[in-house]
Amino acid sequence: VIKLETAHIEEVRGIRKLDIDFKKGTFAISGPNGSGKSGVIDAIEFGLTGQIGRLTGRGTKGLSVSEHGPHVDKTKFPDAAFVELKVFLPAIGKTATITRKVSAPKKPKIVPDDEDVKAALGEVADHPEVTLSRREILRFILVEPTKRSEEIQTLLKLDDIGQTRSALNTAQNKLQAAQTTAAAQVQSSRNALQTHLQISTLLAADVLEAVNKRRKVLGLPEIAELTADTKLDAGLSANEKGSDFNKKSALGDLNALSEAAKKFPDLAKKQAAAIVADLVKLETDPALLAALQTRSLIEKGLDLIAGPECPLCDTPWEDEQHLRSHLQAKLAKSEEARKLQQSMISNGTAIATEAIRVIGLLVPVQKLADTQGEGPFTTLLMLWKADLEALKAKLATVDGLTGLKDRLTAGWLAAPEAFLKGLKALIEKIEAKPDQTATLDAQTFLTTAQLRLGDYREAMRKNKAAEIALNSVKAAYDAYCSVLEDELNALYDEVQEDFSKFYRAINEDDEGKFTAKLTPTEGKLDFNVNFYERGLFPPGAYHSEGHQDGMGVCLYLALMKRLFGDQFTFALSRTVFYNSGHTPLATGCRLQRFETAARMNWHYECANALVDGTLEISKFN
Amino acid sequence: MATLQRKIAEKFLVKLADSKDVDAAKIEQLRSLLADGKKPKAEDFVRIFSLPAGGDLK
Repeated sequence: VIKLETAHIEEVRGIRKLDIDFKKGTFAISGPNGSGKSGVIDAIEFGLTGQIGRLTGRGTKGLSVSEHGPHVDKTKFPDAAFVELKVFLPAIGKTATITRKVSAPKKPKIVPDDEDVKAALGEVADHPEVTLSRREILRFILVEPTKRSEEIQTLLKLDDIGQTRSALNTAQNKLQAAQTTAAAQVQSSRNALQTHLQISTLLAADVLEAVNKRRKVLGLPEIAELTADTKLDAGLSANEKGSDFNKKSALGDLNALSEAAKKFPDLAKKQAAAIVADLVKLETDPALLAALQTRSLIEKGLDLIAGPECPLCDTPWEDEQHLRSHLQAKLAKSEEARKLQQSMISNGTAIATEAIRVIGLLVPVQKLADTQGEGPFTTLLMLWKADLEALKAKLATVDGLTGLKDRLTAGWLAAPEAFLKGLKALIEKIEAKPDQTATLDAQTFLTTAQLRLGDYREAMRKNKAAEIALNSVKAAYDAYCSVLEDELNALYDEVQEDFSKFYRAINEDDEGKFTAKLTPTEGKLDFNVNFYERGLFPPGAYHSEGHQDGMGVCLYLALMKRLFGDQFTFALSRTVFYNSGHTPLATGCRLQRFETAARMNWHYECANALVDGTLEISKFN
Repeated sequence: MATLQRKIAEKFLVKLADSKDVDAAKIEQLRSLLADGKKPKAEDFVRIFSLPAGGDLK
């Protein structure tokens, strides 16, 4: 990734002013407690990432880089605290200088300001895990399985992958809802066409029989076959197409609405009652309501994340990945709320489907009322239709449903009071009209039939497109989940193998047959190690603290191998890890035997340099 | 993008190429969406999967 050449540190942590020449090599610092060793690590980490790991994460509430990054005597002058690092970037063969002030941690000055230099340094900044403390190392070993799963997923940036899966799942739900609406529109336009044609099934033969009967009256040639571009009113002049008022058809539409109105009080009553029951449950269980509200809020928050600051409460986080993991873990904990949410949305969708059907019945009657000069009734139908459209949108979300308890209890359809009276009056008005001549009846019949066939075809086309979209997102979601599962299983198998191999290598004297088992289950990652061939136990059960430290570094290395592949060449460590009964030097040297030596150069270079006596050790006092 | 993410994205696109439900134009759009540094949102997927079969020419 990078090699450090020099560092100039001013007023950062315990350091007033310091210059170090790393000479692109491996570098160690020793000194008594409180001499500033960790301050150098903090400063380099800050210079590279804009963060200081020791000031973030669990147990650091009240600490921040802005307040506690500067030297204790310069807390009021954060501008004075800065780090300037000269680094070599092997991948692009360039040397660059990065200067970062505590007062502006996200705005480093990079020289040269080349795109490839900024990209390379950006990648380092994106990986704060290059800095290790004993706390960081042990967090993978001595934690409960759910926390381990979160930590490892965060480290490996698996939450980005989880985010993609989650976005695909949300897209699938949205396209499913769109397809349900499109199918309801098809049903609605089909009903309108059948009502007009006065046929019980929409078979081509039945359609043609009804149409050809009218065409014969007008002396137009019969249509032999109903194809995708057949025009039922073909042969009518523009003049003859002028009106689409057909008395029989109008009465058919009015009667269809009138008949449907008799069942309005019972329409989707069961689903409405189920939603009301769920809403009552929420009212009587504040914890469940809180979980649901939080769920909805967290879902919104996850969508809005665009950096390490929480979009819901502005709390700054170590990085975006940790924030995302934190919110995802909260979501996972509200399973009961999720089931309730699913039930409410499912019932809401059923009611919305009925609303679409009613709207389909209202549309032709509204048009008829308008052409017949029934202004107030037209307005009533128009407002009711708009109200149902708005209701449809509310039925699709829990937030929307929460405000609908009274309406769902009283009757969600909320038919206007004057509706039945207005409908009756319009029916009487149409019935009172003289029957149309056979010619006019046939002309308006064909015109209306063609209009409604066009609406039906358009609804069918939209539904087909919605089905294609749904099938494709379903295929994509299934494919993503399948690949993800395979890769994660393989990843944990490889991490398990590498970890065991590394640990055997540093403890070959007494644990040469060491094995470990990583077991991923939903939201958890169990980790057990073999204790001297007596069986698998949690790492903290019987192994000494020194062995646990060794496990920590081996698991860390195994994880870094998965994360960086062969590009893992840079790490800052705060402590000596190899203390499992061996001298640090001897145990560290064993790491060079790994087949993955290229990835271990940080360790074996350090060990070799110690053996050769060439390791540059800066002694602090 | 981290190695693992890239690997999963590539295998996902290869697997999709075998699916009769997703055409090449959509796969190309997905490839671009999942490219380095981008975090796809649900609306991005809705837009891509709602494209007419074969592309977005009207």
